[in-house]
Amino acid sequence: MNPLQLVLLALPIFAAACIASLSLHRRPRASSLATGILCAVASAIAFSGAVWELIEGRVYEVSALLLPASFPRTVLHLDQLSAVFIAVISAVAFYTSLFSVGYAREYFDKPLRLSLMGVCYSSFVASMIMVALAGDAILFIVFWEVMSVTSFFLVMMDYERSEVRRAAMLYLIYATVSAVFVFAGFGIGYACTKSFVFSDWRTASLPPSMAALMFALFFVGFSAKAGLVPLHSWLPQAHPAAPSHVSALLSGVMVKVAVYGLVRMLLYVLAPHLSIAWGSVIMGFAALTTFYGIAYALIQRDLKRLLAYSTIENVGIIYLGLGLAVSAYAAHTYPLYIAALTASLFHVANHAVSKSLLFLCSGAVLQSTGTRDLLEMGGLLKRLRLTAVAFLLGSLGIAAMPFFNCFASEWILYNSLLLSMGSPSLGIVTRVLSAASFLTLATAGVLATYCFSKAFGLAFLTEPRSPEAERAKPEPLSIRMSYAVPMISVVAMGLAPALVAQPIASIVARIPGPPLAAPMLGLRVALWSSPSMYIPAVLACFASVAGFIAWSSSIARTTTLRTTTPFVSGADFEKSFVPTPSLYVGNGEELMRGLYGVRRAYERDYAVRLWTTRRIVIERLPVDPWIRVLRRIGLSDEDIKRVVHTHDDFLQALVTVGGRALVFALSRHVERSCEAIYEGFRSIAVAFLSVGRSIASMDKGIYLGFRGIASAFSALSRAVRRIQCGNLYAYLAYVYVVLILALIYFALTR
Amino acid sequence: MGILGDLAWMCINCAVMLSIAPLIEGYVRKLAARIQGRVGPPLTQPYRDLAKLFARRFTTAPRASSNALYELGPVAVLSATLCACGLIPTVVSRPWELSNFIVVFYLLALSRFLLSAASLNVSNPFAAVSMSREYLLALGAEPSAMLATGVMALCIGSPSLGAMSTLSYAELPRILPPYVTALAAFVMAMALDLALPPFDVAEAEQEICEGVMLEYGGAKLALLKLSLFLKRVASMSLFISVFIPFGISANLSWWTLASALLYVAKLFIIATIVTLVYASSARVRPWSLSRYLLVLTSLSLLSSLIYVLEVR
Repeated sequence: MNPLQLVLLALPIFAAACIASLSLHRRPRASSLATGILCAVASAIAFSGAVWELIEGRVYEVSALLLPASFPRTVLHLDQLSAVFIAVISAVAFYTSLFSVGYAREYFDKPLRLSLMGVCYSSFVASMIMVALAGDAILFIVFWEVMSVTSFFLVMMDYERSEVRRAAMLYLIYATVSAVFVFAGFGIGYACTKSFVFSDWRTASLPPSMAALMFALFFVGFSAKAGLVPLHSWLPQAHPAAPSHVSALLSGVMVKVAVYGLVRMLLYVLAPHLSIAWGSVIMGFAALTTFYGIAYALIQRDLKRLLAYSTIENVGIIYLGLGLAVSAYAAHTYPLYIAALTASLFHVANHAVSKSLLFLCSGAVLQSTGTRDLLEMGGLLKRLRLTAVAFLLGSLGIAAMPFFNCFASEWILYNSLLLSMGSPSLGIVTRVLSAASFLTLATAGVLATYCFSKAFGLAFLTEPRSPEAERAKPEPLSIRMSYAVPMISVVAMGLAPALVAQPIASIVARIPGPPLAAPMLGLRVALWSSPSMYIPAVLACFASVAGFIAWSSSIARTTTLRTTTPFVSGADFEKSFVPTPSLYVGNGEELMRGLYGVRRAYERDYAVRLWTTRRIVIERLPVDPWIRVLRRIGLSDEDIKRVVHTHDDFLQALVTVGGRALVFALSRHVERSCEAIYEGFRSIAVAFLSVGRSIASMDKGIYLGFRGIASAFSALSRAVRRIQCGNLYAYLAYVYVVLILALIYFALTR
Repeated sequence: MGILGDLAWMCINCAVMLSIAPLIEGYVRKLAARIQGRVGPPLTQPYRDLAKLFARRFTTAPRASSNALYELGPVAVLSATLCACGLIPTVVSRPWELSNFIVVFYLLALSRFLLSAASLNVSNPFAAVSMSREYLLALGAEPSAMLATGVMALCIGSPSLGAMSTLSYAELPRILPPYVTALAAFVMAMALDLALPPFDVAEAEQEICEGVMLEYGGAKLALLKLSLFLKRVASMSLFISVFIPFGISANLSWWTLASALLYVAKLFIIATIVTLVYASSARVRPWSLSRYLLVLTSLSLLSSLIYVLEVR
């Protein structure tokens, strides 16, 4: 038994979960229970394998699959870098699987869909683990595509709603584009080395021009999947559209698989060719992403959408560390390289934990109130106590508050940025970018506290703003159990960050080639002194003692005899006075109105005679040139309104105007043609039925025959509607074409 | 020594700031009153206010989402602020890794986050407006102050406030250009942080009734008031220890007493300047801050650019 075998042992269990889910489709409760528990067990096994590998540190590479000798060599490759990501994936999958047991209740009335969801879910998790295990381009592509397709189905799960269909389609398009770029990069690698195996690419000497081209292709491809601005527009639509435990996986983990791909390609395969310019490019986009993501998260009213935008911000932070590491490695500033990449990978783990926890909480809220709109929540703390505590911990973590997890990684990143400003060998561009990124990161930090105080405060505190929030049902047991692991790790990784950061630092030192001397030096330099990582624990001790003294001095004198309503200048408190999202973030929206494309308008209100008051109205301003373009492409005003109102991002509009308009034009036509097919089948069915009814007076048997035919046609029409818009066919056709081309290529080269 | 020593140093810094913070508050009130032609309260008024509030029995509580949060919110806010205060060197400059400036800024951010949770707990619209303004000011102040401090950390070669406060006159000519710009940026940011007119938009008694603290009374109000006073002194002390630490003693000795007096004198000088601005200006409107924030941010960025261009 070795770590690789242990990780692979999880696969049959995932397969068993698939089979259990399918075979139990008549009993939804049993099906969801079996799938959830089997997936959790499999994830736990994969996690223990990854941890074993992290401790042991040997590289395992075995030839995979029983393929004919003429087929190119494929290998499974497990090293510590893969193990980090497998550990993150399987840890998150462990508790989302537990959560799915309680969340499946939503789908008990649709048993077939529930079992399909179980199949997709378990193969999605398995494929993500296998992407991290793939040691060559072919296996990588196969599992990457399985991951894309299964996640597409999972996003599509609530397909009755049109915005879900649209989001899934946009996601599919982006996933395809991303895959095309990644495949092209792999193609170049194969063309240069005549091998698909990554470790061969690493030892072969690639021509510099080809290496640069590969960097460009990988950067675009993996960034589109990770949601880097300006390739992000699918993310805030697709992640919220999926069922909540899937959202947790998409946001917490799948985005990180793309990061894994980029780290593997840049620092493992292309390490000798890295240049400062590449690092600067990555850092520039990363800083933009960081600010943009959190600025848009701030003004969202939809809770899950807010979390999705915050994922974009955190992808920016991860890329920031990655870009800095690339620059530092190219400039041979190894301690800085270690510190920056440690910050980046540490943030991968931290963000995965807190973001998945937040998405699970949003799922519990959605289940018990039936809404994702912050405006209709409020006061949920009284109903969902444990969810409120979990959400608070997750918010503290994701807003990088001291004593909680993300703070540690952002702290290392801050110090790395400062160091890079002070190291002349990095060149003026990277150093200026570091200064700008430092400012951006600090701004994003403030915006994140603003944003998450809004999310927590307006969802769980204040008073209920809708009858649904007042009647919220308590969360089921399995959902409560699923919070335990992430809640503990948010606090533990915040109080003892060194336990995670130091192993990561020693792994990072070994990624690009021969181990760099003194791996701990990187972290020490980043913190500019010896083991500074004990700081959070010391401070927490101090804070708790201080808090206890303050509490004991104040608590003794409180005896509550009477509760009062909030004071509103002497007026009677009304429901309409309860704080709303727009009240809370209105000032911020006003300050950054240029970014959001909103306009300030003054309305003079002369109702009161002596004093004229001015009421300020913030209204959404349609961006004119954009609308003109959309009209020219041929979208109806109805569609334009949909585009403008569902995607209120100015930058996104400017950058992806062509692509988006095309997508919408396409989607409308596809949807319409699909509608026509559906109508066609349905009308045939109706015709048969009516004919059958007229004949029925003559002969009972003929009528029954007609009814059978009619019901077959209506079943066909329902199937068409279910598959939705023909996207699947287009996608499958594309996969077949790629496969056939690949086979022809192999046949010709043999 | 080790951790216990660190905790002892934090206690000393906290004790210094806790004892001086209400006095500075009283001084600001008195001076502002005199400038505006009023007699003003005695210097010790804030101490008396706090003592009175602590002693008062409070028998009503608002209808809160969580009574535990209502009880513990002010305590948590105060302890996070105290934690930050403990890390800022006041009378002794100890090259001390615990006092990392990023930790200090983030501890203040933590206290702000907890304050917003405590104030949204009672669904008072004034509190929500007040908190949103508080975040707006922080959005301008915190990033620029952090970058300016970061530039100074680079100039001196350590991110520890303890080490940064060993800056001496003799070193100034070497780092003058980034020093001056960073100082200008930090002063502008500090003005936002002090929550005094013209930047007291988040408190604004006449407008939104000190929204954040509106629903609190008795000892809990005292804790919140105390943490507000502490926050003011903390941002002044941060300025002193980063930019004008001259004369701070290097270790515990008789010189420490003189250094403590010097520290208090510096606080009073800063408070005087701040009060002169305070007493002669009106409150800004929160939405007209954008130009101020722009100047502030570009100043801090400029200081880092100057540093980058200078050190090759």
